[in-house]
Amino acid sequence: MSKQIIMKKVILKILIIIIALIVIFPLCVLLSTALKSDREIASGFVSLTPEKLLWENIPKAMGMGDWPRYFFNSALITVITVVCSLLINSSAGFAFARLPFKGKNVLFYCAMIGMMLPMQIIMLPVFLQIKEFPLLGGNNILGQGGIGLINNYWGIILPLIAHPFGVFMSRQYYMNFPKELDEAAKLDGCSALSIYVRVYLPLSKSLFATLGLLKTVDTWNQYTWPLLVTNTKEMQTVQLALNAFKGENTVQWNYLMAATIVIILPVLVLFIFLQKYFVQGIVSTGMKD
Amino acid sequence: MKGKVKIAPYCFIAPFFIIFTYFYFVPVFKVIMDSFTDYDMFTKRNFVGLKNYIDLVKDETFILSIGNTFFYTACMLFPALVIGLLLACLIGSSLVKTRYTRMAIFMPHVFSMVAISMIWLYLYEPNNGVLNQILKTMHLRGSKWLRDPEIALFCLAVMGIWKSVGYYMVVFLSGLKGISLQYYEAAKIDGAGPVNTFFHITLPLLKPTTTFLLITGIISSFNVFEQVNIMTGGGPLNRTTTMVHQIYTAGFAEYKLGYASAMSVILLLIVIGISILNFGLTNKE
Amino acid sequence: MKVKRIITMIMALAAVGCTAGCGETKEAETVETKVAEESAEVINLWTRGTETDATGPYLLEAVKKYEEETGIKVNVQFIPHDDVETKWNSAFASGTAPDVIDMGIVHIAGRVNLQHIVPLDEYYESWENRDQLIPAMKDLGMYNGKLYAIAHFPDPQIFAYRKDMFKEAGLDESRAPESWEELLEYAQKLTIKDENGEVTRAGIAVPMENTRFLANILIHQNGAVFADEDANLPTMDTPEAVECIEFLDSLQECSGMLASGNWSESPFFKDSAAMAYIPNGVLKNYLKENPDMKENIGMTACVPGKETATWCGVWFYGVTSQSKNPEMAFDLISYLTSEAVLSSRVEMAGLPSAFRYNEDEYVDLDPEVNQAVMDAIACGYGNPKVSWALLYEKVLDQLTEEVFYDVKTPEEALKDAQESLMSEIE
Repeated sequence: MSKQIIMKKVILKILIIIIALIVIFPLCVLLSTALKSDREIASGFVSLTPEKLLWENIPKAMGMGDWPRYFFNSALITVITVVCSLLINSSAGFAFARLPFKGKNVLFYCAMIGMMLPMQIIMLPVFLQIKEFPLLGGNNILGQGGIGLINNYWGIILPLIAHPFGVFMSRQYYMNFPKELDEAAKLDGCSALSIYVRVYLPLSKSLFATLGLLKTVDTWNQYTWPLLVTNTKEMQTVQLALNAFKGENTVQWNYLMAATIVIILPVLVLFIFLQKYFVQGIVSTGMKD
Repeated sequence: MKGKVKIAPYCFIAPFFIIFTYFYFVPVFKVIMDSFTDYDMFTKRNFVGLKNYIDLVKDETFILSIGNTFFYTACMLFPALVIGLLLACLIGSSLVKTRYTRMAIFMPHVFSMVAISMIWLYLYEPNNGVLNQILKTMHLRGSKWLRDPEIALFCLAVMGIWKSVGYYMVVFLSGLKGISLQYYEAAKIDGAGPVNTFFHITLPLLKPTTTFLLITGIISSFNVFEQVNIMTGGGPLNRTTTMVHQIYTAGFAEYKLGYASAMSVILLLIVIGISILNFGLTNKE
Repeated sequence: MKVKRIITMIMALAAVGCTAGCGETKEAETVETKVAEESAEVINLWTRGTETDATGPYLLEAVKKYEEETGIKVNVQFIPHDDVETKWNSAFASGTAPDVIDMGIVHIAGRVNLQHIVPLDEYYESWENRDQLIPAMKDLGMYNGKLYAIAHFPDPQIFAYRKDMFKEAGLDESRAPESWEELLEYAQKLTIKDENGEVTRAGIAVPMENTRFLANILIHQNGAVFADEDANLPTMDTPEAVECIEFLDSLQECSGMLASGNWSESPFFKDSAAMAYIPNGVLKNYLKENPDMKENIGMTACVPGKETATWCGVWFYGVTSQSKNPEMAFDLISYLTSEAVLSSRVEMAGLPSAFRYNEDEYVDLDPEVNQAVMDAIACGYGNPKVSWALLYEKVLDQLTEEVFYDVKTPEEALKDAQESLMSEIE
């Protein structure tokens, strides 16, 4: 019997490892390309094992351009976006889940429609909204006269904050809380705001881990939007900075891949830290109506 | 006290809706209005009635792109869901420790589409790419991959599966954790085998998870764009062009923003239609 | 507990971020008001490519010198080639376009019609370097009788072949093929196929993507055009065009599907193609990194058909209609195309120039290759200057694809292309 279980375990383990290897394979290609010499890249023969592992490619790639600045920009944008979006979306989700008010359903479905169109489609109108943002960047109250939020961190951040998906998930999450929770708080004379802040927010760890991670990945990887909004080198994000390795006719594959690896590290580390809560968060948003 | 209760909920949703209205509803409204004009982004914006929509019906490339989008969704989403579920069941069975493998499988999800596309371009290279070399060592004939009109879209779908399967797995895993162990114990007592248990307990109880992934998955695969733009540019023979790619090229390369807006409206209608259908089906039961 | 700590940390970070962000906003505002007040002091220049391209480093250096000499601040922004249209369009639509843009022939007519670039005749008349601009290059920047763009960098493709492969196939390696018939004959002789009939070495590299360049070369060699610039109409259904596309199709059979559109990864550089049209810069880069290949590669401007012709893209500077100070913008262009700056470019990047004063210097730099480049410039053609040039590129790529994949005959494909262009233009 125990022998059978051991056999089962071994087979299972091997199977899972094989699958993981298949999934990991393209990423190995990424790593091996990153460590090749210019010459090897140019020779055109795509082999998985570099002649020599050139780890110095990674610092070399980071030496081309002002990468600390790009990382700072990306990190700043990501942190502000994630924090703001968590607060805004979860409070809206809380209201939709827990508070009775008129037009609740209509408003909720309105928000849900927002999940359905991709950025590319409304890109130009959104860009004009950024430029015509009232009272900032030299604009008057009607949004005329200046450049609005163009070439400004907020120009990148603001359109990314409101995220219907986050509202949806928060609503699901809070709906699973027992009703007695609010009632007890209400008896204590708490207002909706203090119920949210004192009771719900402290219980939202895993929700925030889940949403935060997804939003971080999403924001960190933005490309087209920062490209449109930023006009100076100082404002570049890491994803835009990758372009430096893609010339008109030549792609410096090794440095491009090396930089890609460095860029992905922060998100990866974050995932490793939050993994447990990430799974928990999805468990408790329930997906069980 | 009563008045306070009435205002409070709106205060909670206000920040979201203000930003959302400014950056989403107003632009979408503009897009819908523009779909009835010959707007070219710069000089003209005249009302042309339904002309854009009539032209769309005759636009073979756009109709092809709708077909491609559906095909991509079918080829990408369903296999990815099935594989994700199977993986979740495999990994979820607590026989072995899987912290690292789980992470490995999830990893592609955190990479940007731009980076992913670069890697897979390298794999799919028709001349001397990694995949062709592997086939060669196995004495099999290489393929043109993305340059072969018959399989190009399929190649994109495989990449999509690869990228999203880890995410689906994690979500299914958490769905599995939500199922009370009592069900399984009861099944064991009834003498149900693993296959039976899977079909009669796991699957039905995972339905909310599946519905959620299905809807969000349909939406995201209908919006597939970046990989198309980077890897194939819609070719060969327009076999990989998708709706969003068509909208993007019409709007930004040909300055036909009115026309592109009409396409966007069609896309919006299709996605809303599918979602309503989906909600309707799940609410019925 | 741990999570709480992480959350507090993130919150703290966010708070710092917010203040930094706000600070940044204020900074941006003050910069903006400054700009508004002293708009005379800042010029924004958008150039295509990246700072690591051959066109990058010299430009940054020149701009720095210009800033030192004049006290004017120049913001240079590099825009990746793939994203140029998107970036320009959103900038022009919102009124945030720069003062000077760098562009190609393909952009001129369209941007003039959209009133995005302004005529430069007034400045040109009193310009000290005007006689030095090669007349053909000046004409390329003209549209509807006015000068809209100053050429600075012609970027032709030249014909290159592998001498060792010629020798191996028993062909005369001392010269390139000299006519279309000979080119096809050579290509067929040089092609190697495996037992399945798949091409393993191409006689000539025909790109499967962006085939429009080669199609453009061949149509001019056949003494015709795909588009009539004066009438602003396509001329795709002519017998010459059919002949040209048929010839292209037969060349493609000697290429299989090997060739990709990414020039630096052309099979020609990977020993898997014997002949190719290659952008000169890419070829030079290759020779720089593989000096031993120099004797092995023969070069000439083109293989003539009825006429000699090759592809020659040209880079221009133009002043946008949204520039607050076009005079100063032209002054920057004048500086960037001055003898000193362009010589430094020849020296640093080895790029040819559109001005007479650099010609000798350029040829002397590397006589063998650069003479071919100069010849190519002399017989080079770019995209037609029509307002629908971007569409022209797309249609041309598509029709060659249809022919290569045997979906349509050359005649059908051209006819359909003509029709679709005609319907789009009205």
